[in-house]
Amino acid sequence: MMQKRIFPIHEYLTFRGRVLGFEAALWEWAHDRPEGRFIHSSLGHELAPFCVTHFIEPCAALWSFYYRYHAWLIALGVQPVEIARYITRRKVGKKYVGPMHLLLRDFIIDCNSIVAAQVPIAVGAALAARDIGQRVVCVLGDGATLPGVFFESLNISMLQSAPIVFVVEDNRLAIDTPYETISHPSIQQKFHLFGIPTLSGNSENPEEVFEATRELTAISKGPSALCVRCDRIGAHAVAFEICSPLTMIDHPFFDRKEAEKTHGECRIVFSGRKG
Amino acid sequence: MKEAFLNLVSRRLREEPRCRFIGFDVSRHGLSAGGRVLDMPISEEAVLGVAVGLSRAGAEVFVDLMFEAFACRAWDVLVNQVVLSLVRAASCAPLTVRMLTGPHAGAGPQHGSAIYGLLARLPHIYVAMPAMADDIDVAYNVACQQHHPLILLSTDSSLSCHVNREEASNIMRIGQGEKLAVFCLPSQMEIVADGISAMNAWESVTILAPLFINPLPLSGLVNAAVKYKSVMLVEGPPPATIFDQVAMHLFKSHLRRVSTYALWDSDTIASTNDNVVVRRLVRRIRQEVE
Repeated sequence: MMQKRIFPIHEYLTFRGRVLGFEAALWEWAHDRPEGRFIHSSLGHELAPFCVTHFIEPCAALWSFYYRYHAWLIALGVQPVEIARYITRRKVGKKYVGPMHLLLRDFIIDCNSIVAAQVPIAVGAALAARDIGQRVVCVLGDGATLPGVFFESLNISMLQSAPIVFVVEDNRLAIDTPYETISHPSIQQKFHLFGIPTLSGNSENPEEVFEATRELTAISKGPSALCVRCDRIGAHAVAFEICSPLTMIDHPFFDRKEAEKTHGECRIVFSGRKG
Repeated sequence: MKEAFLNLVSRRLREEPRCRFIGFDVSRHGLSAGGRVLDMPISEEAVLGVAVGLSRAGAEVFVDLMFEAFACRAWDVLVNQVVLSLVRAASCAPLTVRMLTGPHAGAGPQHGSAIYGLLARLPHIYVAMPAMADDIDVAYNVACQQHHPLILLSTDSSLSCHVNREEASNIMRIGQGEKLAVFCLPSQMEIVADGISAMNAWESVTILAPLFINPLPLSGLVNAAVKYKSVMLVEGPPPATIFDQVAMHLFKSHLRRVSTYALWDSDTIASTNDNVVVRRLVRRIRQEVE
């Protein structure tokens, strides 16, 4: 039996500050640009990436994301300014960037903008990852548990004992439609239908999520699922945000210093000046 | 053709320890590879998605999707997901999908759609319709070298297109005594050759059967058209967009005669669910012959 670990609250607040600083600089650059309609802030979604990357080393897995993934990239050790360069399509090293951050790290196999499309790809990658003693972390939103391909993929993952951790960031909104109005079973019920071990937690109780993540990531064989209830801060896309995330700089659950530092660094990149 | 494909899969399973062969009923082929031949549920989108995932994670994969028409269920993967893999193509393992193509006698309407024209327009995916067994290896090698996913369209045995031989012979009467170049689908090469040898009417004949439907070897065709006075484009099943493009290029090169024909018998046409183009072409052929 593994011992419980204490939730590292200070590290978490620092991480949230970093995400806030990045998202604030991004908002200033993108909210009135066409790109803003297709860029999605991670604010409010920081807990799952923080907890999962605490227990799974970035290089020990292959990672598959949906379109709300800035916090995941930062949690995996990608510098916010690097993401900013990517989004603004500036050079990273000697290379121009590719779409959807696929070239940022070798272990990122997907950043998918089509809801649930990343799920079967992640299952296939898990079959290959097993050959080399790795597994896949597949991140999806609650809306991705609705399309048929989600169920098809769960079926295959269980049949083939694919080593995969499904992480559902459950913000109860499919774009802006309340999840309860468009899905009959709960997310947990969907995983249970296929016999996939599932644990849940609420981001209002970080210790609970941290502990659930610890337990779940200890399962190394076959698929497992972690459902993290969270609240999206702001709109579906950056363009629809009414005010800058900077208004939250005095929020007690963000590290203010870290937010200001990251914001300043990223602003330089977004403004196109040399930093 | 099926045997040639299975030989390739079998060889790669032996050579490459991470290689997988997945699809519907694939275990019936009797290839043993220590659990790497995986029967999949009938879930086309998920199966092709799994194949993309295997490829991205470095494991070579062959997929048997049975009928080309079934690919419609996996359209998102083909249009949106495979293309993204090319961003990091060098680190992706080869991905080869095999499907049977075209209308065929006795098949249900949802099994007989021929969408190779649509598949050939998918960005960055090589679509090949091999004419001979050796062509499968050629197509595979080229796709691997250039880091492109490959769709192999097969027209095996009873599922190959049914051509009315008499009608084909009638078509061949056109342009007697001239040099003739015939541009046809590989699957139709045999019947076209039969028709030509039965007529024995031309000074010389060249049959062009492109291995790759895309990228289309247009320049080769135009060169052939300049060399020969008469060029015949033999249509396959609809949609015939690619052949229309070729015809346009050849017209522009001021040829004496460019004709397009469909070689499909009426039974086959009756069994297809999208036959407007074929009916139109057959009517044209009959008018010209009469």
